[in-house]
Amino acid sequence: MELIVETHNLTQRFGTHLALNQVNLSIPKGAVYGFIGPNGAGKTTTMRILTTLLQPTAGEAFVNGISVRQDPDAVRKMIGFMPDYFGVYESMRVWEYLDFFAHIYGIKQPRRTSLIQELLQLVDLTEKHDSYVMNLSRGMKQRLSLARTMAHDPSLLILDEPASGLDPRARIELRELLRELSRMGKTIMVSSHILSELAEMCSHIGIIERGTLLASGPVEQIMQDLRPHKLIEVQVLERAMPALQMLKQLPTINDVHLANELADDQAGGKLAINFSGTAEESSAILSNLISQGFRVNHFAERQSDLEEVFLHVTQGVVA
Amino acid sequence: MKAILQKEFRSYLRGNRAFTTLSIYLFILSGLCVLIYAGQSESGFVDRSEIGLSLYSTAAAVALFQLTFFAPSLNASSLGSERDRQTIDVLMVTPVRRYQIILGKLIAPCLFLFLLSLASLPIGALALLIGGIEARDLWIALAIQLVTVLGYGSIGIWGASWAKTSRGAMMATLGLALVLAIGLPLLAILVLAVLSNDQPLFDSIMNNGFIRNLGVVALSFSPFFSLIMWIQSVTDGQATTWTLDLQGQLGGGTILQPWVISVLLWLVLIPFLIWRSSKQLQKSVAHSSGG
Repeated sequence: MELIVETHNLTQRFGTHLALNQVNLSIPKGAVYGFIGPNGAGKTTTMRILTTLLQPTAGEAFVNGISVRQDPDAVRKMIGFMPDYFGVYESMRVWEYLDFFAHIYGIKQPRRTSLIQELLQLVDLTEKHDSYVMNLSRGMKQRLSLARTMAHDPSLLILDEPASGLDPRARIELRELLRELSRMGKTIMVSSHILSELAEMCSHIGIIERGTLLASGPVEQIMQDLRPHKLIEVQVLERAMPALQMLKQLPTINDVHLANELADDQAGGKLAINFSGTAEESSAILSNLISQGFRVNHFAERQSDLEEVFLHVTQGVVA
Repeated sequence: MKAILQKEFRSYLRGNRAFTTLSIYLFILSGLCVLIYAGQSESGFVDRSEIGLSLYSTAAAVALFQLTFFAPSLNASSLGSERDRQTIDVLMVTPVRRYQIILGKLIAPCLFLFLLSLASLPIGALALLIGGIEARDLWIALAIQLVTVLGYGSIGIWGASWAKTSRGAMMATLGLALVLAIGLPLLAILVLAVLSNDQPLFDSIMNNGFIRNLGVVALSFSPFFSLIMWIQSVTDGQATTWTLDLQGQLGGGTILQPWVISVLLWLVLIPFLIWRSSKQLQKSVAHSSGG
């Protein structure tokens, strides 16, 4: 697995405040890496170090194998950064804004003109080519900012809270755009508070709290590691109590309980099974229920979501 | 840096701002020149050269006054507004180097201001036609203006690299410009007035070449001092381009013309201020990091 971002014991102090505490981060090429943590956890600090805006107090950070300390100029050419505010020049026209950054990245004419068209097409702002930035909506400004990060075709995009302050439609558009960028082969490091959105588009996540990286890796693996027990929900049409007794006898089941009140012993109901077995073993549970004559109308594994994992891992303490 | 210069120029020349600034600048300049001319006509001047010299002195002084206060504020807002808009981080993540950002932010407003300075040349040329001054005098006035724009502009940039907002940067650098341009000469006048009460002490200080030259060097930070000394030389008919004959003033002797000292001082200070601003910019951006 080829890594595009690597940090070794990355530490950042602001006076006596320890903002990052020996963070070891690895982001593989092509990943969409969701960086999660409460406010003040160290997300922005990590991102600012990776973008060379901040020199770490100790430790090292590499982008594509290049040290952000040793060769910040080379790192800057490989990254596109979008801070948690727009970073746009309101008095410029949309094309001027993109032209300015393309020029800064050394892209010459006539390539710049065609590049601006391509970027505007990518972020669906072609019609706004001549508009002033100040006249764009919040979501449009965010997309324009994203287009700017793409001007020099970087391999890594670092996006700090890109969805903050956007309305639901703009968020959906942004999410689709990030998916498109991911399909284009870009590695995206994105921080957000909206965990459900991250869960939908991230291949990897990192959870940070009080400057300490609590978990990092592929989403499934983290889910698996942090929630090794699965929860299976079963609904039987009648005889829920005998079904409960039967399930308690099965060796693969850790715990089972009724999920709702029963009118009487013969009534149907919902059962919640805490289970740590394989897919075959969960299938065997269903077979057992049916073979014992229980009429099952619902049998499903409840997926742990990112929010659940996040709450499980973090203590909700802000640095 | 070319991209930054282009962007800055585009923003200066967009809309009516540049036109309005130029109009106000020339209106004030020409208005005052007309007043001076009218005033002199009333009192009855003896020869044409007096009118020429008066026009020259007024045009140069008024232009200098405007540039002295435009330069730091325009430069401070040029860099400070990047911080206000929170675009400085975005700019600093690009491959453009810190000193290039600083240079771009310094040169663009300075070029604009120098454009204003050049726009006042016709008034100087009129003085040249009337008589009383030479072409050299025009060039020297322009040189003082150029070095003031660049020097005070770099103070503006340096202040903006420290300040948290462009408003704070503008206030601080305008204050510093006021102290250097007007405060220093006023202080010198005050010190001389106090010292003149004790003639032996006054003479001993004025005859001390080191103290006297140090005083002239310090005063050369004020463009008005440089200009006034030059005009004085022209009026006395003693003007030599590079040196100033004190002729018994300030203990007598010959020193470099204050405008030359000013150019030399700023030649050293401008690169220093650019270097310090680049360093400070990096620091202040790093300190703006959050969670």
